[in-house]
Amino acid sequence: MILDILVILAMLTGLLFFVATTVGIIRFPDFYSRVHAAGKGDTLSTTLFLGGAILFLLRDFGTDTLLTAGKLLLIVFYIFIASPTATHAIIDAGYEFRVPYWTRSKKDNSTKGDEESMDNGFYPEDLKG
Amino acid sequence: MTWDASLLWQFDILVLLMMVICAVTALALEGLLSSAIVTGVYSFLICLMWTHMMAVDVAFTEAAVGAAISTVIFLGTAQYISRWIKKDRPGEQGIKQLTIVIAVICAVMMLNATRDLPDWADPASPASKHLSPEYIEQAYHETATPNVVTAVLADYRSYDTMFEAVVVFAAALVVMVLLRRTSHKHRKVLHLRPKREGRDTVLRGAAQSIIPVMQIFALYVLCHGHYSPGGGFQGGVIFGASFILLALCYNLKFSMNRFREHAVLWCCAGGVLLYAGIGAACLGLGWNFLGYAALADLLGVSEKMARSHGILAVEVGVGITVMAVMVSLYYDLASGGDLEDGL
Amino acid sequence: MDDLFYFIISKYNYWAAIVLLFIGLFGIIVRNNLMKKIIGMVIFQTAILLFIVSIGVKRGATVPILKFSLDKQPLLDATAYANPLPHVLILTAIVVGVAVLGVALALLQKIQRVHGTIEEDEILEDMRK
Repeated sequence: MILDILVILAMLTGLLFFVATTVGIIRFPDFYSRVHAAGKGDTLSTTLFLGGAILFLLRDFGTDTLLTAGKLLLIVFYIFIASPTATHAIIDAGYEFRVPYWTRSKKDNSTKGDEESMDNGFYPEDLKG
Repeated sequence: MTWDASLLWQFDILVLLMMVICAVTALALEGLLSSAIVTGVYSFLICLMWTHMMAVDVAFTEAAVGAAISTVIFLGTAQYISRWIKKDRPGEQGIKQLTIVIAVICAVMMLNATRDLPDWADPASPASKHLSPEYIEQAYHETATPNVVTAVLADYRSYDTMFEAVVVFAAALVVMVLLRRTSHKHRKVLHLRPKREGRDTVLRGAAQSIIPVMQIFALYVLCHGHYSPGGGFQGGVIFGASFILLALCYNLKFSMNRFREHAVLWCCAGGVLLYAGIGAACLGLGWNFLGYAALADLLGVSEKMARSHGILAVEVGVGITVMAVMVSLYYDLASGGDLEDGL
Repeated sequence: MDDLFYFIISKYNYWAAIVLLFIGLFGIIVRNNLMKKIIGMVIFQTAILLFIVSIGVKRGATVPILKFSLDKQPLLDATAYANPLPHVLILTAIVVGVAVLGVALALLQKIQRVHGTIEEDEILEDMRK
């Protein structure tokens, strides 16, 4: 009973983080913040969701379910290493290609869409002169 | 006739709808890099569809080949071509409307023809009645291989697999003939690509921890193809992908120092030679071409086990060829032929 | 209504494959850019593979790997396993598909090198000069 509640909790939290990641990818104004949201949110939500699946498998203790749970644990470990590395590589590539940072537009204090605010977007290397 | 709840049709319809949306998006987007990524998403969705349909070998191959290698070679090619499509021109409207009309008419005719096709997931459909129950029932007695797909692929239909290895080898050769050239001094690269100075710590650390595990896993998938989904293709693709990962985390020269071009070509040809060589050996020993039971006296085992070992040897040949072909495709496509600098 | 529902449930995989087939064909014929034509070819190929694999599905069947009873005897009921013959055909088709994709992309790079563009009408103009 306790295990069932834990499984449902883990999967629902994972789902919630997935939704938050998706909203972040759509709504953030800048390349860097979008990739950041994608990298962190995806890793955490996948870990939680697969953690829930592992707990679900451990309900009946047999050798083959233990083996499957071990393999899922290895998958979680692999995603934990590989997904943030891929995010790092993407952001590094964007930085090398001089994608500008987003700033709030100076005319009004509202957070407008990408097109208007990217006029004031700056690239930090340019500021150093 | 009733349908039972074992077919999760809600899941199927949702995934198929997402696939249609991905397909339309991939064709309509303006940027070619985005189209390549959306095609990768489409491949992942079809892989999910196949896992649901209990076609796990197919899903494994599609995930390794379609979703990973396809996307990497798309992105490698995208460095050398212009990355935005031009807008619609006025002359295109006529062709578009005519094609839509003809496509809709043909689609309606084909959809009408599906009324005569057997119901989905019917165990009594003609596809499941003539030869396939024989294969399922005889495979273990004759080849000692629980994975029926591997038994059929490498034993009952081994000619197809041999010629597939030949086709893949020929593709690698064709790409090399088309693209390979000596390095140009004034390389005409379309977009600014800054040289990667040194080696990034994060990527280097991740590569050092992932790549050895990946290679051992590839060998496991190859050898375990008799008992679990896997086999020669999947193992070979994963092994080749480990070299591509090495080239992505460091640079192309680093990977080429470890797996040189002539070694790649030797492996490509060697795998096909191993496959055909086993077939010729069986022919020489008096049986059919690729009739592995001929190896029973040579290896000193029963006929059943000789066929199982023959399947393994043939899968090793296919794995070597596929590994070398994936690496060769990446070397040639991502560097534009001169093997200087990759993605 | 029940009849219509049952009709859709028993045939929707064929419909999806046909719709995807025509989307791919539309992409190959109409789109001017050669890269889009290649993507259309990929969609067309996978639609056909989907059609063929979906023929081999059986209700209540499982993966075509033989299960063993406790005394090491295989359970040989053919209706309990999915049909393995389409799987074999599609395995070959997927790998050949990626080989064709590699050759197509090599041709694309060569065309860009020779003609300077990958839009079809500009290539035709360039060839007429």
